[in-house]
Amino acid sequence: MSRRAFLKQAAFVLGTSVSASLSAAVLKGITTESSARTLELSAELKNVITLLAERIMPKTDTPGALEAGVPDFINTIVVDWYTPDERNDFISGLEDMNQYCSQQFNCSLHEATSAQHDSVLTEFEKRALAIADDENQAIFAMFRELVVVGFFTSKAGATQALKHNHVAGQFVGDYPLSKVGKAWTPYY
Amino acid sequence: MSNNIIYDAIVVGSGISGGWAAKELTEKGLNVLVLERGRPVEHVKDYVTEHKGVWNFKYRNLPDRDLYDKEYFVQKHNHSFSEFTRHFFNNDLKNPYDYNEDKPFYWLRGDVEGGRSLTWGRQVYRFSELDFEANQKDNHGVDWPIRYDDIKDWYSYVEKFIGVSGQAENLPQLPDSEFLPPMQFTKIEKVMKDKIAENFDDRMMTIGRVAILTQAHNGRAPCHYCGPCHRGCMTGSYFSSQSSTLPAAKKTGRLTIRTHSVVEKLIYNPETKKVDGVKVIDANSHEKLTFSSKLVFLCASTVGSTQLLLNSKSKDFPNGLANSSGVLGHYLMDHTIGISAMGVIPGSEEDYHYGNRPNGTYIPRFKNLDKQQTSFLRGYGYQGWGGRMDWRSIHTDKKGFGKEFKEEMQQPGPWGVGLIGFGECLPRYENHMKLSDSKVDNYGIPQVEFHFQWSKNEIDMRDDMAKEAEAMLAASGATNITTSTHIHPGGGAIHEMGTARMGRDPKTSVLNKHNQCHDVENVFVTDGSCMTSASCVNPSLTYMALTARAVDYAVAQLEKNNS
Repeated sequence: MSRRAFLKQAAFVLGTSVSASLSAAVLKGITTESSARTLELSAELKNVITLLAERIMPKTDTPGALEAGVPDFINTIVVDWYTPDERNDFISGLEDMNQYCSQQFNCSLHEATSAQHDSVLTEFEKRALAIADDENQAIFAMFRELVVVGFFTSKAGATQALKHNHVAGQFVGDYPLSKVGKAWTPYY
Repeated sequence: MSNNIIYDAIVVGSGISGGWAAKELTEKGLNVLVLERGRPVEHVKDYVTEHKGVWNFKYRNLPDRDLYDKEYFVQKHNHSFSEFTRHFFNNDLKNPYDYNEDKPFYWLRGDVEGGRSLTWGRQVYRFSELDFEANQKDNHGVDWPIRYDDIKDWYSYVEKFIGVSGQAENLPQLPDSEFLPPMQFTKIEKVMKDKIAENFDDRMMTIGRVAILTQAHNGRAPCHYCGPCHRGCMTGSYFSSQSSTLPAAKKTGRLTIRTHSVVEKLIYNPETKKVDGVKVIDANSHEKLTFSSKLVFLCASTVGSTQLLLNSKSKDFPNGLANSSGVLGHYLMDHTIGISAMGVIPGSEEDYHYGNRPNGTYIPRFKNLDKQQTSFLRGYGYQGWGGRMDWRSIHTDKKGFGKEFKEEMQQPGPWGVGLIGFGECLPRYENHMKLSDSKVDNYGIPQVEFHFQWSKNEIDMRDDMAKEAEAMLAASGATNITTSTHIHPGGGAIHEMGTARMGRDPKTSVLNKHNQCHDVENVFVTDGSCMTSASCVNPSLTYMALTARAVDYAVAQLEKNNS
């Protein structure tokens, strides 16, 4: 069993709150002092994060990434939570996407259209699937995971995109999904 | 400074055992002082994260890695530890202890009023005759000075007070408790239960037995199924000192609780051959105080109580109070714990559950019951569960992004199942804790030093745990089964016990059959340090029963001496 497969299952079975690949980072801990916590992402980079996050979790009948505050969450994680190595992987990954965008469409991600963003994301998902490395995450997987976690742990994501039933009052072990309609909001 | 009041009894610690000692002693008419080294935690008011949405936390559900690596490098291994509960746990930087890096020992501590009763797993199982006979039968450790019949009524007594939900199964190796109605299985857990019954004639699955109310009980409300008990419960629906024993003790008007009170030493009087009182360091002012009492109950946790005895040296007891046997600190045990197997059971896609059940399933011990079947001695049980996965674990398997991806993430995933093994640990002299010769803590008290390793018996058992778990998941129709033989270092199950064991012979044990020190008749130790063997079941219920039983004896003795 691969380390990632194990972590993914462990995240569920142990009822841990972290999702699979972030839990890999969690287990790694921070082994070196991280001094670069004063770093700030540029306005342009923040905008790119916002545009791409909304393509991944768009507004539907429930709020999308932007409305759920996902870009701020990603900013916090990248600036405060990531180790310098993880931060470098993330930023250089976005730079690779930007370069690809320029080659394909003669414009930066910052200026690209939604269709062009989708095309870049599709290309980088293809590249991510080719990487079967447990330790090194492709930028697409890294970015999409941040969006997923940031979205479903936001107030809008947890209370509107999922079925929020905070103080249920009872437990019924066999209950039809049709009466719930979607996944319950997890508890932590 | 000394305090002129002479209490009838001093209880050190306010966790599961200390709360019980306080309740029983005060209800029997004694004036009791509870000394708690941590801060006060007031029921409801101090459950500061209860029902608080994950979005209110800076890193949401993610750990503060930087902080944990620097200040909570041990406590972060506790299953209940997170930003939602960190305020109930010790800061490791401020509470140092020692071990060899090759042989780590997790000392997982919640030094606050109520102790680990706030964050415990709430699983409660009785020890059986099999457990009390184990040492004698295979000649490890010493024989328990009691048998199941000696404690059975005390189990009933504490269960009727705390409230235990579960299903009676009539198994000799896992005696039934006084049950409130059981919690329900999920759909897939029912499938597992049936498949295990169909395919194996030596084992069965039941619902977890848990100190959570499924109906109103003794003035406490039933569970409202919000899920994370460890944040604290405003309806007092799970057993904690705050919800249950301390209020009962307070009601008598005979309870005094002093928090921020680090007990440094017990004061032994060679003339009376009793302990006169205790020396306390105020955790805030570092002022030294003395408190006197007729009786002392040590309920400071396994390691805490033994540390206190070891540190209470005198001319008569140069190796620690009540340690004429020399075994104090030795025979440290824990349970081996680890995920034995996990898998996915396909189908049942229209089925789900309602509410957040703070409980799982249980597979009682089935090895080496009537005869020795395996290369290892004793046995193990499993806690487990089956439920539908969600976005947290399925998103890495899904392709794409956008509307369709989002809608998939909003739906539950397949049914995941898992079994976590809990193995019995043999009592071994080499596994021990002692006081450091050179290192002291912030109060000048010698630090605890651990010397602990799993033995071949635990390692062999662990392999069998994974193999049998895999077989049961396979029989239940699970696919993608993964197994693991990883187990935590000692202390990882938070079931550390032994170190001041009960026994028949004062030459080989610290406590007699009433949890009374062989050497000092007015000192009783009723937390996990008294345990002579470990069983494979969660031990807290046994600490409660032994505490109530010891108080009954101690007070009867006191009355006899007074008359």
